[in-house]
Amino acid sequence: MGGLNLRSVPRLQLVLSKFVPFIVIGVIFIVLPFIAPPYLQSMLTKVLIYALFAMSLNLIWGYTGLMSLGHAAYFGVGSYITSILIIRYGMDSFWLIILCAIVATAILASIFGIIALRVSGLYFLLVTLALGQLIYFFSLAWRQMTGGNSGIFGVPYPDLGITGISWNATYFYFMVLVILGICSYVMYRILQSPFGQALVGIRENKRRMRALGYNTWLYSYIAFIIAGVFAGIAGVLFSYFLKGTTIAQSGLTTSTIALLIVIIGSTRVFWGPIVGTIIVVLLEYFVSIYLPARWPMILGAIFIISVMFLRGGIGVNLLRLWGRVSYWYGSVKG
Amino acid sequence: MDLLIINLLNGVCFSTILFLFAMGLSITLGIMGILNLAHGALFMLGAFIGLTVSSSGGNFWLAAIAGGVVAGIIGLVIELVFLRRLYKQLDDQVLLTLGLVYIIENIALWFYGGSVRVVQPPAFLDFPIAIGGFTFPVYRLMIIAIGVIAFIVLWWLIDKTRVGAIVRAGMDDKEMTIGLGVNYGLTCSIVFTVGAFAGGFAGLIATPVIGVVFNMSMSILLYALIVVVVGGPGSVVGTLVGSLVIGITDAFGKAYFPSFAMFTMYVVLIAMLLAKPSGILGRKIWED
Amino acid sequence: MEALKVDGLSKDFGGVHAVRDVSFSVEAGEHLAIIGPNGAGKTTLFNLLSGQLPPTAGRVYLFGQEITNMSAHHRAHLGIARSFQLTTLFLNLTVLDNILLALQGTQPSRFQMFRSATAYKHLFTKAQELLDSMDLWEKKDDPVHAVSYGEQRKLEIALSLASEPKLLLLDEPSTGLTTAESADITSMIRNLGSDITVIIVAHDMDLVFGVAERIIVLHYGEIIAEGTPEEISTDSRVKEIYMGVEEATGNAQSS
Repeated sequence: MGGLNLRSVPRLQLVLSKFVPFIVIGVIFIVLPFIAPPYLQSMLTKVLIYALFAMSLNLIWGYTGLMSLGHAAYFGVGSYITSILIIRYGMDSFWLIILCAIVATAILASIFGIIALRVSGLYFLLVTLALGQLIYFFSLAWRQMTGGNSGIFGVPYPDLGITGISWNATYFYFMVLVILGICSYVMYRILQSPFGQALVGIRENKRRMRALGYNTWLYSYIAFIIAGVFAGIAGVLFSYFLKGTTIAQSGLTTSTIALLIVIIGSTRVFWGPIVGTIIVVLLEYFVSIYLPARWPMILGAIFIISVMFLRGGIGVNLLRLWGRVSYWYGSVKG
Repeated sequence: MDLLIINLLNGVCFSTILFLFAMGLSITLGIMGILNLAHGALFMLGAFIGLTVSSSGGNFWLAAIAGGVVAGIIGLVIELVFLRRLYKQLDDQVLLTLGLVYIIENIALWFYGGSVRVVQPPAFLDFPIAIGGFTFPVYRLMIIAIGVIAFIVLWWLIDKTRVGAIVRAGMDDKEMTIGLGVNYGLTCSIVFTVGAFAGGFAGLIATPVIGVVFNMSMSILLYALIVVVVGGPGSVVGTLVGSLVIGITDAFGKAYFPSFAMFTMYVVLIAMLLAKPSGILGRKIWED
Repeated sequence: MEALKVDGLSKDFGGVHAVRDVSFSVEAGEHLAIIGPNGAGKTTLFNLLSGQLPPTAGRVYLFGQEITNMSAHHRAHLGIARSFQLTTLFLNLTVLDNILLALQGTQPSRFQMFRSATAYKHLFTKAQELLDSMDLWEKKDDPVHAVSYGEQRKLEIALSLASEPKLLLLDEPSTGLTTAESADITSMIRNLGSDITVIIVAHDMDLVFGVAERIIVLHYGEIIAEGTPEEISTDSRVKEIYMGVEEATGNAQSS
């Protein structure tokens, strides 16, 4: 599964295989809140938000080849900004808040990007880790704003500026779904564009890309910022979901869960992180019922299994399965 | 002035712990290019095993060695079973060793519970001495002494012995070293195990000072990473220098700016990575 | 019109002088070959010309413009293209995707973020032309790691032609190829004619003499001889270097 989908004339099968996963996922997500039991509702919303977070990480890791150990920094900042603006500054408008978060995470990512992209390989990992930890400890220390270890709570449902909405969990779920849909669409367009294809080229052979005329640093930098902004948007949604923000949102655990979600789902497939999120969040939910104290152990085991055995991730294997099914279907029909 | 000395001594004490612990990380990073994020978990494990030995009546030093041995064995297993296959696959090393951290920490939680445990230092060292108007635990001076001895031993081992020469050669050119007929794999395993032993040992002797708790793996590991980056991977003197810088900065930081101490630590790390990634005294490790 | 002027170029790797005070110029449309024993500094010289390495001293001018410290990607936009000695392709992507990436490198559309890449039909047409000329069109949907080594080397050159360069640097284009494949490469380069200035580094003397109008001989990073193929093949210093090398390896010199 290379990554580029440049075809001169799309054949029907290819068009279908490109869109079927989105249709399937879309249908599942629309139907789910109606068929799932009420105690699973909030978990579903969490899946949507984490899916967005994971897709933002996939943009920089799966597509551009830059693994970041501190991606939760933007998630946390987005979440903190939301909670702080609402609770400490009395801001109401959802649109204004999300705009602030986008601007703030863009600025943060543009600063961090300059620092991180000065090095590569191991050092890039360490720098992104350090930058993430910087945000974590900074948030911990700035107790008046962030509530430190206790966090900051009291965020109500979003104020969309539309009168007459009586919020409940299901409406919130659909709002998040719509935002996820929009963000996914934007990300998808970016990744299918010449810019996005260049990112794949950079991942595959940076040296060649430079010789071909691509300013690889600039591409990585822009991708870094875009990824940070989408993570920040996920953070905003999470703040409304959790009704506040805790220090965990910018912590190492959040960064590493995102990594796990992406590798399980497939780094090479656009909708891979969505599948990965469903699996991980679902798993976490059920483990928390039956073996609550053992979740980290199971999480760790999944990491190890993914690295040692699950080469490519589930998304890629699903695509292969689909390929075989449609091949079989074609040969049976013909 | 006395307070200054106290903080300095605390800093050097912590530096010693960091030095013993970070050496393992430094060498595996320098020689094998392997980033083992589970090294912190070995520290924690060594401390807990030592705790068990100590509370069942064992002598303090026996406990420390036991902790080291168990950490060493587990380290060896990790290297043989997992890390060998991931040579030069940095992303995978990170993910895999992270997974190991989660598992090991959870096991520790299972067996030892969630609260911070402490081991009493050996009786003959368990008293304070007066420094100016303050008291300072003698045990911590002992740690510093151990550190000095360890440094001399390790420096001699790496710089003066054949094994050390192989290790250093391996850092510079792996293929060449193998080509010269050296059993590189065996050397790697030995080095890894010794490093893990040192980590576990350091874990136990650190408990009277910092205690042990199941979720300390990553925080102590991050300290060690900063040490290794600042001092330079693959260098004994470098690790010493890094440990001193970080240990003393941390002690003073925690004394005077407690909330921003950790923050400062990471700023130091980032500054170092940008200015001179190979550290103060390190060899350059491979990059892509 | 001078396509390339190199003035006192040197590259020093902490004591190892890979390239020493090299000066030469190449006329537009000329086909120049740089030869020399292994370790003579040929690839390093190429890296200095194409921007993969910054020089320790000296200057490089491209069509009169100084490019000495310009980045590789900037030079690509000024008309330099390069093929690599070790195949530097996108192994996991298809042959077509490789060419498309190459074609896009010098297009303004490469920063476009919202139109799908498939919308740029003219790139597909050019890709087809380029791949056809190398007999690679049938393999367009194959991942590069699955095609033969000879085809990979051809693709390597195809990628460097994609940007319609004014100066083409070919680093050992025929290494590892069969005689027939090398002959293909030779005629392909000759067919480029005087539209493109070509500098080729090679060991294969058939290729060199089949293509070069002028030859520069490099030894330990220095130019020790320069001239037409006839001059070089009769130059005693050159013979000494190669004969010396050939005798040491026990091979017979071919021409």
